[in-house]
Amino acid sequence: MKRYLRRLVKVKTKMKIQHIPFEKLADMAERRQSPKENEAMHSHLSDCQDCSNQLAKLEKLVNLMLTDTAEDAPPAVVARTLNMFRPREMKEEKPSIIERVMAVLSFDSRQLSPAFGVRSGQSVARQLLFSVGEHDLDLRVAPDDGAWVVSGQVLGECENGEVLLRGASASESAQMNELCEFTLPRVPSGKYSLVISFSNTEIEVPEFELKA
Amino acid sequence: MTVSDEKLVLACRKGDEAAWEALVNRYQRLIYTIPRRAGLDEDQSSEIFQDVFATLLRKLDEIEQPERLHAWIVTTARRLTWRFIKNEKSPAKTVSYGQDEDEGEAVQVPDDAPLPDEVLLKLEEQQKVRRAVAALDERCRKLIQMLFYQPVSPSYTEIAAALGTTEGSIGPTRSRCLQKMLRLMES
Repeated sequence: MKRYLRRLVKVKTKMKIQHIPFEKLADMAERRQSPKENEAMHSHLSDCQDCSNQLAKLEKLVNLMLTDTAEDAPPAVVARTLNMFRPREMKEEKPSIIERVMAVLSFDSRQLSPAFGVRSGQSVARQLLFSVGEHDLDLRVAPDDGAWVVSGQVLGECENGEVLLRGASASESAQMNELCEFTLPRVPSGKYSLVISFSNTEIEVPEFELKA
Repeated sequence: MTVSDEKLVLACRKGDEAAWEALVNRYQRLIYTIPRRAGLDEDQSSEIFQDVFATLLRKLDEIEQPERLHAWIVTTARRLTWRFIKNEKSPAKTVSYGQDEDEGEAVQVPDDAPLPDEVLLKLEEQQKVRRAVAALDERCRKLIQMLFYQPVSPSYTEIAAALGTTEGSIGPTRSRCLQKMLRLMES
């Protein structure tokens, strides 16, 4: 009997709760209600979490819209931006012509001859600058505990750049970062050629020797 | 149903010019407004605007999470704006230390917060709302724009005349449209 009565109270209590219709909440969020209507609704809102939450969402939404003073970009600027885009060729569909260029040594921190070699006993990296058409290559070679570290940077655009160091005793490769810098893993002494590839260009650095 | 940022980025990667146009149109207002809110004039903001999209075009293949393009765009616009201000004009604020203002030594303090977080957050939220509006059916979109995006909101009578409907239907239609928007924004 007691259990039945408790259940009856719960059902009757539920039936009493009538939520505020969404349209009324929207009126309230937009301040379209009269003070009297507001007062009546506030009384319910103080007891009803669901209606309170719904009203809060509506008020926030309405406020965001009413205070939206964002500006459109000038039409001419938008038009120029649209024109930046050029439809791309799918790389696997069309072969591209690769331009191969030989790097020309323009500066050597040790003023070596074109048939250059790098000797151990130097405690600092050696810098070599090469000119390659529209690009420049800043190459650094440093001894590292009996081996050598070759690193550098391409000065100019180098999209998706890769570097390959090829020698009789070892070969290593590296990807360039977004600043066109690269650092190759250590390699032993020996003769090497260096090939740098990016876009449709391959730059070849003349064979050089790293020796102790 | 609007196309997701992720799908637009993938389509751009395949050379779809319409996808690029959709991306530009979707974000043009937000990207232009960020530098404007930071105090840059129209020409300066236009420069930032083009730099952001030029960067996006260049990095299109490298964006690892296209579904988070929104965050990438906001971060890039903010960074380029900050860099522009730092390089171009950033007049330093002077601050005095000491108990008495006359005794304190003036110290140059760079302005390192050209766009407060809360302003940026609001801009982003308003962008999301605009996207929800754009995803509405035409009738709802027109109604919402007339009610909430005009400098002076027209009366229900004027709105009803513009939409070719009765004044009594405006309230219920408005409710339906707002409910849709809330659902769109929560999804």
